[in-house]
Amino acid sequence: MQEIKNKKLVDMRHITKIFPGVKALDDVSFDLESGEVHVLMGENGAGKSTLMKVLAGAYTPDGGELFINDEKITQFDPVSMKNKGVGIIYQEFNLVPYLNVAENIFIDHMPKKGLLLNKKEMHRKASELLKDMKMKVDTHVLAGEIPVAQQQMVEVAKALTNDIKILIMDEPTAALSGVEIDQLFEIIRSLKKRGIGIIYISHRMQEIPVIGDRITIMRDGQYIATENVKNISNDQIVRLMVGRKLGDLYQRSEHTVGKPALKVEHLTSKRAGLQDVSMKVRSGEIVGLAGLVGAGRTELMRAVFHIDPYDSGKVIVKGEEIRQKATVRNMIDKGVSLIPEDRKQQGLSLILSVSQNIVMASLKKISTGGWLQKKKEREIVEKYIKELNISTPSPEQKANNLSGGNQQKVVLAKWLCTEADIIIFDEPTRGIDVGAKKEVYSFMDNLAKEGKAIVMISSEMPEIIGMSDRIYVMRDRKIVKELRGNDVTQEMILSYALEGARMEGENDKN
Amino acid sequence: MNGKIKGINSNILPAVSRLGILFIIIIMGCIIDPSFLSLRNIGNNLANASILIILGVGETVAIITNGPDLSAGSIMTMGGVVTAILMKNYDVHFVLAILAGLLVGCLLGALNGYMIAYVKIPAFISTYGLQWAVFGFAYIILEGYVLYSFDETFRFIGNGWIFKYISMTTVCMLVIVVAGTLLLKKTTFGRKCYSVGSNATQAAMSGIDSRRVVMKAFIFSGFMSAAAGVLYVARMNSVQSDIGSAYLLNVLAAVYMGGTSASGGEGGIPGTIIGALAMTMVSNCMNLLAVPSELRDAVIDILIILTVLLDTIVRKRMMSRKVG
Repeated sequence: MQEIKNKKLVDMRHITKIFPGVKALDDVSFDLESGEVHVLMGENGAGKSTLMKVLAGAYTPDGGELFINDEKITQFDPVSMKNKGVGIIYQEFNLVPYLNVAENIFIDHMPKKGLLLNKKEMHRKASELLKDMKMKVDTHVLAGEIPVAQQQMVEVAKALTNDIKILIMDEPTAALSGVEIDQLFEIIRSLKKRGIGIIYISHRMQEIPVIGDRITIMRDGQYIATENVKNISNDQIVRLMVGRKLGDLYQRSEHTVGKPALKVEHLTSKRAGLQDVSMKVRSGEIVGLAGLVGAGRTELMRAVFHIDPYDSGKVIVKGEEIRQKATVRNMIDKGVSLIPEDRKQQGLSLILSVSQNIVMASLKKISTGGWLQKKKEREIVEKYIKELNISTPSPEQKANNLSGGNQQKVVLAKWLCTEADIIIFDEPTRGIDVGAKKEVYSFMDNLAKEGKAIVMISSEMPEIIGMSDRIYVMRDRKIVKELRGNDVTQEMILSYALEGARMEGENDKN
Repeated sequence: MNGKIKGINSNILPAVSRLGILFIIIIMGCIIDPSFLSLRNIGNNLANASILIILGVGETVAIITNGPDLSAGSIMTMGGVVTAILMKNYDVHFVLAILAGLLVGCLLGALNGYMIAYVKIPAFISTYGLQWAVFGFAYIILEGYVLYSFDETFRFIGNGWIFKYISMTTVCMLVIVVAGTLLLKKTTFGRKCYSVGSNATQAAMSGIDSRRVVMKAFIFSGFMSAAAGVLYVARMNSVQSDIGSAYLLNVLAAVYMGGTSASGGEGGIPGTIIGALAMTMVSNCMNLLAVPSELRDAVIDILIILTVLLDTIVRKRMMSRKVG
């Protein structure tokens, strides 16, 4: 076993990947030996997924070299990478729900007899494979009808049908519970014995010593460190993951905090998995909502904004309880805005003009008795174009023709136009450059100064710490901690956001 | 400053390319027959195009908001049949008969809207299904007969001429075109149609209840189809259970040729008018040339493909000039 363990399966040297305006990977080196589990960690946006997509052939790197089994890779596409033995299991499953388990496992090379499928052979091979994994699944059941944990196993089986040597697992335990995780780890161990190298991406700290051999930490698209798992503590990992200095990007001016503008009491939603969430925001206050992707922050705010229904609990706006059956329109009329993260899907109509987009949520304001007042529309639109410094040749320009930063400003303008008193920002600076970020921050600061109540969902720790008066940390669809004061550190937030890193988070929930 | 020119171009160029095609058709018409541009022939063409345009106004709103209303031809038939039967068999005053016909159109439109917006059946399937049900029902209530020779005053709406060259059908069409354009461009409802059609997720986040908007759009489309049916009966002075069947493909062609996007949220009534006029004038040319009817559909098909092709080329060139 010793000799296969030392063989280098993957060697990525100085990989650089540039997207328009962003250096997603900056001189990153990474290697994987046969028979080891190499954990890859980093905050959201650190570049883990981009690096793995290079290895899986989804992206072609702009610089650096990649060797697989000592062979230099020149052609980057998913098929040739697969042929080199690279398998990847994505965080979101790629099973076809209407096909049965066996068909899913052999989706890209179903056994044939002549021109026809050899279903008997397929089911035989599939159940053999699953039996090797100690799985009891009927291969005739539709993939959509088996539990999530088993779907995950089917994904693994699917990857194994191709003669893989390198398996990338992106948060494989995110949807699994205790026993299922143990099962998965058992499978991982048996794969290790076969000499397969595994790259394991996870946010769960407690898994690292159990399953990992080495760990590599990335931050802001850069390689930070590689260590033997035995020689590094959780605290050290967290410090290496965040380890950034807060610049003067974040400036908060003097502001007075007033009465509670938005209160959420015991909100519970089965559909979104939210459990008994309570929080409040006062006017003039910026409240950060921290947590990892999937912690339920967006889901909470969507329920508060009445886009998605909730089962019980109260939403109170400026002292007035909102009906559970209220609509988004009611919420806007009550003075609440939600600025969504995904501007292209949820924030804008790209084929409509800048002007039409800006007034979209405030049609009442620019009309009388259902008739649009074009003059009023133009005045308002021009005001916001000027105020937010939106660079567009004319208000009639299609939003599609604007740059990303300017599109983001159009979304902001649209939600300022409703003259809301409570503004919820969902990842307001995702995917925009530092200059535009700074503009957004000073904008938020101004709004708070004017007495607006602001909620900011963000996965960027420095942003949360730099801008917020108070911070709620969410994990597993619950608020687990409220933090305030100047001595909040990224390590503190992350330790509450990561499961099991620190247990007292469970007890002193506010 | 360069951007300024670009901004104007991006909105106007497609319209220019369509007007260009219309212009070419007119020149061809003049070459075929010098009297093509005589007032009488223009008046005739306008009158012939009117029913198509009225159907097109409703269809444009439906397509911008959600998807094609394939029941337009059948609702047109039903509107005409109901009006005709009430007048002929029940001696109802023609004004009431027209109102009843239009009401039936609205109700059928509402049924479409309900199935699409609330039951969530794709527009293509629910309106296609309704089409056959309505055609069948029209056949049953007519019992296969052809009704003809109606009240003189009623017939004037479709058949009358004012100022010698302007048909009353044309007048009705102009009123409807103005009303439809105002609705789409000057009301909050029109703005919501574009919003829902271009990106329904975004519309929902903006507090727009897309179900209600889709419902209203299809009621509007049903109303316009019925109005086209009533005018058809008044103009032709006869009705049978298949009058609308020939119109469905033509109206879709006119709307798509007019630049209304099949994926919604883009387009408008002026384009539809150009599309309908182009199709009507090409038919006129083919009449003048005595083109055999087997060839006519082919010629119209080629015309549609050419227009859309030209449109795509113009758009592509604009895109490539766009600075990323």
